[in-house]
Amino acid sequence: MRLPENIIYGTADKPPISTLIILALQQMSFLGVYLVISPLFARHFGLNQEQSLQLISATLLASGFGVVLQTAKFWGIGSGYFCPLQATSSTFAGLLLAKSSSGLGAMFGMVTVIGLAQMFFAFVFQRLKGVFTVQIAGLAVLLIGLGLGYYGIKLILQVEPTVSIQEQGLLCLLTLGTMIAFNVWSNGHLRLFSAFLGLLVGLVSSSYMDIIPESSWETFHNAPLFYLPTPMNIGWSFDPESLLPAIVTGLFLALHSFGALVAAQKFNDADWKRPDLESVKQGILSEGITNLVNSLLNGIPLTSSGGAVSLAASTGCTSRYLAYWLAGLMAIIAFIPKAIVIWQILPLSVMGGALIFLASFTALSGLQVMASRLIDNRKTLALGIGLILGISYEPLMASFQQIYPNVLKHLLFSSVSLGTFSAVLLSILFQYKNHTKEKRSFNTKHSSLDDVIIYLEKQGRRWGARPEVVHKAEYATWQAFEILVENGLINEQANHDNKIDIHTLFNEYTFTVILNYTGQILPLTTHRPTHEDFMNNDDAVLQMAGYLIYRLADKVKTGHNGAQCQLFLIFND
Amino acid sequence: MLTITTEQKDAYLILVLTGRVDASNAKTLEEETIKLINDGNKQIIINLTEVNYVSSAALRVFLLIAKELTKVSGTVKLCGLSSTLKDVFDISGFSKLFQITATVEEAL
Repeated sequence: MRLPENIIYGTADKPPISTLIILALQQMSFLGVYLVISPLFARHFGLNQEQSLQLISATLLASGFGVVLQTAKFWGIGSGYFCPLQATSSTFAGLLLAKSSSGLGAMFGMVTVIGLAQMFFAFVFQRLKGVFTVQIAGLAVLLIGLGLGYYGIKLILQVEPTVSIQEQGLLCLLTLGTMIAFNVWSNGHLRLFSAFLGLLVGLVSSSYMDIIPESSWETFHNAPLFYLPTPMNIGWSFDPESLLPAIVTGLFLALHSFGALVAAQKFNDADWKRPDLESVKQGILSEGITNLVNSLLNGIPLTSSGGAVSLAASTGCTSRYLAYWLAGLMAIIAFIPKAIVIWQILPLSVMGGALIFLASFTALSGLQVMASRLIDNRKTLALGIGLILGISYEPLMASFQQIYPNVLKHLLFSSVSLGTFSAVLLSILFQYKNHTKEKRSFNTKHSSLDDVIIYLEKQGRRWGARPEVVHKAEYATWQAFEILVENGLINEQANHDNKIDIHTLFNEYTFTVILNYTGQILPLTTHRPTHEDFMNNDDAVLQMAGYLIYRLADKVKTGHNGAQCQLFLIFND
Repeated sequence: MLTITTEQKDAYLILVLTGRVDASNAKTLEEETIKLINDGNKQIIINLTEVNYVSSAALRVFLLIAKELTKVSGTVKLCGLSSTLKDVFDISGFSKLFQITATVEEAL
């Protein structure tokens, strides 16, 4: 696996401790914006102060556990990548259902089922290689990026009582500008810490501009210094009515994680070509287990943070040691409520600037992945509709919540899961009458290279193959066609249209072109004729042709299919 | 689709090919070149700058041209090969059979 050039410390690298500490603080600064979700949840569900502290601490502890489990990759659990978890408000609706029918404990029973559902879907995704294609992965990553950017803009434009819109804009510019400056025009440590430096500039500027409200400092002063969370302190019970919403929530959490984990794979491999679904399975499994543990600690559901993955990649450190240090920092903060509160002091416009910075890397990465393959009209529609639904998530959610308040709330979990789910469903639907194995006959006298190009590009689009592989196949196939015809290897029959039948096969790794004809097997040779052979031996040209085919394809095979000869040209995708 | 034009530069006849050289037009190229050789042209430069595709049929014709010119103590050079064509010539071993230059001027 070759590291991309922008990565200074890869997954297996161990940066110096001082660097790790600052990078962990940087990650925590970003993830800090999601720390507000636990107190929001506590307020929303009417928890008392003890219960609120339990919830907040438990969620943080579980996050720390989760980031280690994800990266350590023990016994087939965890992807091995740096992919932290974050709390999400999208599960509020489902949890509220559980609480309404069976009390607070039932919420955490639902989180247990969510975790189990994620583990189930981890195995299901791995088996659906034909559905979870490169393009679907690219769509998921693109939607993560667009969602981050959209959320960033919302934060910047959110009205705050003590801040004017101009001040918010200025803060955002200062934060984003600092991050851009250090990321583009510096390297080494300054680039590694570009996000942190931007956040620091944002914090200092907001303090200088007297924007941080007094109430934030009051909250900080009033927060206890130490709190020890107790498992199941709030409660745990199982409500059968929340089973289906929990399974649906688990599905959409898994879809969201699919996108984040694919992004992590791509950011760590310069030669990335397709999603490693085994690694995705292991990653989603670890998240399911994390949510199981989380439910017993009485924390709220967690999902992969595409933003944290982007932050690591954009600043150049995706080391698993960063995960360990981040987990340690999260564990420390989990016991110190004052430390939790301090992260929430950062103004929203500062976080908004950071999100725009991160979103750029992720969104473009997703676009690159989607554009790396040939696309036919089926894929265009599946991906296009998925993308449009994904970016229309908020207006759709607002409309459908009024019409179908209980049902569609679960379907509209997040833009990533809505868009990805739609694209997956359409991809499955469009498999109907998808003639990927369509055979075509080429007349030996009247066919041309253009005919082969048209056919193979159409097949390539249906299969979603890489364009460079299809172009290589076009050239080699036509060479093979000419060699068979020009060297008398086809049995020419008078008064008959002599044909070569060509069809294609595609699996995850190879694009195969199969030529069927009546005649003689093409002699393949692994040795090129010599200069003397060319000048003195009439068979040298045929030998050269066979050698040319042998070299143009990644693998060549010949054989018989009944009375017909077959020539297999296999190209690595 | 192949177009063949010729120009004379000093003692060299420059054969400028445009388009694709494959089985459908290799015979035409062969016949026209043999005719030019029979007309007394012994120093030939084949300019492939505007050629985007050659097949094994084309390679066979180039080999035939080389053999014909050897019989009359002539020479053939190739120039202006794109990277794709260069790969084909390298794989087939034809880059060792011919003197290949980047431009016509280098071949002169």
